[in-house]
Amino acid sequence: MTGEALTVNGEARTATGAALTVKGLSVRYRKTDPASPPALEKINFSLAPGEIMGIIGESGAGKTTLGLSLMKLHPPGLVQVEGEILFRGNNLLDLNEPEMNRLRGSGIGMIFQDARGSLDPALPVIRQVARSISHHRGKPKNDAMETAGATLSEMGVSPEILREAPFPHQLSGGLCQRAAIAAALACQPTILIADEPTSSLDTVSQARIVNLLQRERKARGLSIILISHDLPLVASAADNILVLSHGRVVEQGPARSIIETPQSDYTQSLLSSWRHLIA
Amino acid sequence: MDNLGTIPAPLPASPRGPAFFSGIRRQANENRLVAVGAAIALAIIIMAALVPLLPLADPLKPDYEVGLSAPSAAHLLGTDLHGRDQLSRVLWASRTSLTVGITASLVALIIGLVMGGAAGYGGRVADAAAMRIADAFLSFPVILGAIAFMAVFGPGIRNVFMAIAFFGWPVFARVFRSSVLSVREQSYVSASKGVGGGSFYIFRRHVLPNSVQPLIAYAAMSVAGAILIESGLSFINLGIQRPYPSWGLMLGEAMGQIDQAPWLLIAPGAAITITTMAFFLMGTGLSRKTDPRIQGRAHS
Amino acid sequence: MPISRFIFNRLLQLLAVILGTVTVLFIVLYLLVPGDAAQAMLGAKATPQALENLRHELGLDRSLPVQYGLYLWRLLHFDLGTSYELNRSVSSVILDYLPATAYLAGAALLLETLAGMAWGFLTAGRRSTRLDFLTTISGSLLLSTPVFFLGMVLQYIFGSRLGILPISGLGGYNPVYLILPATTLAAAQAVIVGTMARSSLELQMARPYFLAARARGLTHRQALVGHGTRNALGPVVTLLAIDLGALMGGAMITEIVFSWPGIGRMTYYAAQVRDVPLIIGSVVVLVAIFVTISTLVDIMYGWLDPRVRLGAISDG
Repeated sequence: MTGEALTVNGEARTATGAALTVKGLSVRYRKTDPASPPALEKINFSLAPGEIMGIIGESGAGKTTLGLSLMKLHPPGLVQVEGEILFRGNNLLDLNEPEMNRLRGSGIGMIFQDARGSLDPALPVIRQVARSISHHRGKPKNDAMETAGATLSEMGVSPEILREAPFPHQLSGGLCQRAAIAAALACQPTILIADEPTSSLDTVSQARIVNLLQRERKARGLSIILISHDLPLVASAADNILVLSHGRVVEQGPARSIIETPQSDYTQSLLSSWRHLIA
Repeated sequence: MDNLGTIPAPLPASPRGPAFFSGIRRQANENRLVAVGAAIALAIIIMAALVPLLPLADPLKPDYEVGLSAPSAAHLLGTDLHGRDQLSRVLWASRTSLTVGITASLVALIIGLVMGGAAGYGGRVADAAAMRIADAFLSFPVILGAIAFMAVFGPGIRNVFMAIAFFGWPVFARVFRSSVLSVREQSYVSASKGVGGGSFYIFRRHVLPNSVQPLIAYAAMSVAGAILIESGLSFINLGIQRPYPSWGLMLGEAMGQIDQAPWLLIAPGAAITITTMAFFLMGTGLSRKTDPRIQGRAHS
Repeated sequence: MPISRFIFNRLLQLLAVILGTVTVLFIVLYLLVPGDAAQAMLGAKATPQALENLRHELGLDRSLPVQYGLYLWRLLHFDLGTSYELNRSVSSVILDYLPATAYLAGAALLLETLAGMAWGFLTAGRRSTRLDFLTTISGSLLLSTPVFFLGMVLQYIFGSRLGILPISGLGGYNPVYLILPATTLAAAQAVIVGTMARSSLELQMARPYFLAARARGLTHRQALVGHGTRNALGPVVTLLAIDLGALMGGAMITEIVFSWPGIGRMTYYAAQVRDVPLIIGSVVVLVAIFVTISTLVDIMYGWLDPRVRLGAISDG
């Protein structure tokens, strides 16, 4: 599903009703050094509602930068960004910071590799989720706490667990990631960017988290951008795959075709190193 | 560092690090700090050395006819209660403060090297013992200790040296010890040993170069701190004794006459501040160059 | 480790430091001093008979361990000896003057904390090398200015010239009298606190949870205030506790400049007349206070950090 046809005035309504469309996104890190290679160059893709798009590539290829750039969370002042990020009828690159802040969390959410690190160590987890809810949905504290508790339960962090282990450092990596997902999804975003969500977890927890994400995709119609260097994971979970190398899109398409019949040499080498390990 | 007399700690730089702006520019800044500090310090030292050659009034001779006179052509910085020329006293005092500051720091450095070396090279017992002692001294507010020291042993320049060295050595011991220990743990030391390098060789080739920069950095800070301690002690009459000129002493004597003779404050106060600052900047610049940076850049 | 073990460790450390300090003073007074301890304590008033009596009392005619034992025993009973110059027990003199110093030190601590935190908030995250440079220079300037110089300059400007603030005395605990001395004392320390606050906040800004908070839609300021500050307090609080010791020392000089009737000024007068028991006594008390407060703050901070209070479990 890579179809995209933009109307002339840039409206993001496409033939297939994409949740997110990225057109010609380029990101440079050093304003003062025009000769330095761009972090991202002319990225194009489109994300449909309920689609899981995997982004793969070796370390340093630009995967995390892409994730952060979609949220406009790159370090300010040192970045030159071109192109368009079309979401809910707006080009995100045209929005100012307050408008962008309203979208972060409630429009596009993000979870990170270091789940425990992504939670405030000094606050009980349920309070953190409740804060997100208050912030975006404007609920008063008690309501927010209740909703937080419910969301956490849905994600597999039951009230009993929270009673025993209210703080992030007391929870296992898998539980922390569930809590982080709860915090992200409690704001009811349309898109979730998952940056290496399972890379710090053991294999059993990995599978569980992926299942959780797929379940939520179905339940909420959530689109997920799954960034990972773990090829088998992306191969099994993603609908479409984007292959990134040195900040450029090398190949993109349905997951099956990318895995079985990769077109580019780079993709082939990525896949073969993986296959080599399991052969 | 607090200017209340503890041996100072450097002002840390922002931990954001070179990920956010050119690393080269930051290095240049640190070099600039060191350069400025060193230049001023050097200038002051040279001037202090040349003082006996300058055509100055006698700093010790009282002349009550001209007591407490404002700055004039005859006395560029005015005179104090006893009619002594301020300019001359300020310049002569620089010799005292610098001598005390630098010498006491050197003594502290040497003691620190010995103790730190013993801790680093000796067994775990020696290490633990030396460091416990060092910690005990480090947690002691230095100015209080110095005052107690002077009270018990009597004032005077020699005891000021000892007091400063007495409380100043732990910093050097710690720095040197950590250099020794970190070098010993490096793999290239085992490699050296493997090829037959003895302990002394390792010391010369690895430990010394590694530890020189932080030691100099702390030495500079120590001089800064020592100058403040000496002037503090002299201010309250427990340091350099009358009639010898010391910046602290001059300020102490000026205390009763601020209303009538405010000019008496400026020269010695500025002198202490500038001299201390010069050494402090040197120390800060040098110590930042050896500090690890925190990288904030995201990897993809 | 569980919190009780943590507290126990800290208290043990406290004891060790106090014991260490007291022992060092013992060594200085009984072993290193020229003449003997009795001589040092009686000073000018030393008649042969008085010396004999004191020597016997201190146990100087007995073995060293016994002397040490007697010394510790007296300290345990808060017997800090007698000031022969003033003809009073050292403890009573100290109790007379301690409140004024506590008042001054407390005010200075408050001032430097507020100023320091404000400075930290204003400068955290600003990435200009120029700002860094200016900050270092101005910070160094303030730190290099001796307390007494700053005090006298302030006295001249606000007292003599402008005549709007009182420049000496306690003023019966009227806060106006506190302004100049507390500012003098706090000025240099505020730089240190400010620098640490900035560092600490920036450290938190670099942590993953900060980015995650931004990703949830908090503005930079909201994330800093709502999450960063709490986590940044730790090093700042620790610094303040350590700083207390420096404050005690600086208070002495400030008290002299501003004629503040506290322990510092008392010790100064004691030093003038070589009233050794009083000096040693006040040093012991000040160090004990400082170290105790440090430890209490340390324990309190440890208790506040949930990772310390509840103990971390290993990853699952």
